[in-house]
Amino acid sequence: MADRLTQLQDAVNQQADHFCNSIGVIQQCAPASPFPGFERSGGKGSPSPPQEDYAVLFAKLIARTAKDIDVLIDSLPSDESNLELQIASLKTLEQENQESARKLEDIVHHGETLLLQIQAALHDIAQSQLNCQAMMSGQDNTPP
Amino acid sequence: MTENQGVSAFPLPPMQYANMYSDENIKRGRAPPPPPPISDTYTMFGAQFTADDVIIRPLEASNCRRLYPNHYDPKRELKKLNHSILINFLDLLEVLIQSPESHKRQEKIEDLQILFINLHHLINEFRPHQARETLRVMMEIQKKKRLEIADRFQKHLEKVKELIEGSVNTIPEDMDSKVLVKSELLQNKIAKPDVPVGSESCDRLDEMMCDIVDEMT
Repeated sequence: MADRLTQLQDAVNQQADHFCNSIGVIQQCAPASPFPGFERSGGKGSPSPPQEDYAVLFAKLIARTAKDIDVLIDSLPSDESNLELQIASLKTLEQENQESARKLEDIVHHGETLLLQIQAALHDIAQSQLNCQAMMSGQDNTPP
Repeated sequence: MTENQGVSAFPLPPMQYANMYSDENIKRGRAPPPPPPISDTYTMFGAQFTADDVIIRPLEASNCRRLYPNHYDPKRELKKLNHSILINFLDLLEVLIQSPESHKRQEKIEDLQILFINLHHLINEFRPHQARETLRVMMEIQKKKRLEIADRFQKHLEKVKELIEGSVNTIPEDMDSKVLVKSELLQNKIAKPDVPVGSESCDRLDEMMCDIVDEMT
């Protein structure tokens, strides 16, 4: 779901749309109004009965959108966290972030050293094993 | 889709620039540096000025009438604008009912326009605040993640150390075994340079026997 500001902007635009649409639609399908004292030849064709009551529909829509806008405005943060507070908290956060980065780097460095030590030890073990095997095969070859 | 016909819908890349960044040029350091950032105004696609000096919140007074005071409570002003818009709409309906062709209709429409523009402007004034908040929340999450990773890494490290110590302790202290070799890990020293295999094998044997005897005493 979009953030509150975008929702608010969308609701405002929707309200404008409702205004335009309501006036347009009601004007389009409004029955012609009779002129007083003006006789028409024959009965004018009765206008098609309104399938839906557009006026009520649009009134509901517009009222609902206005209420939505009100609710969204209420949900916005008030001016407590104003500019200075924000900037101060950003500065503290930056320092804390750098601190935690340093800590992480330290620990990773420890891990890497340990890894190197283990690798060296494994290297030793493998080398000694090779030497032993070479010795043993050398021993087998030399006559007792 | 267009590739099948062998004709691309897009313009070709600017080869006159791309050729200046060849491998030799970069190695020799003769490739052109990146262009400096543009300050001041510039044109884009001809007539469109995308001025770089524009702050996130351009002054309302430059375009249309400003309807709220200099020191304002944003939420209250937003609500007032919202209600004004509704009332003006009802007024517009009245005008349309009574005298559709009069001046007032145009005036009402302009009023509505100004109201909407003000409303959107006030909403946009919240955007920098939102950006700073997003930044703040992002940094908090980053800090938490870093500390968490450092913690878990530390725990892993300790586990690994325990594992190694355990396995070192379970090495059988079998002095008679011929395959006993000096384990560097027990003494925690840096590895000594290895003697090349094959050369002086007898000396190596003697050396090992000496070591074993030394350790036994």
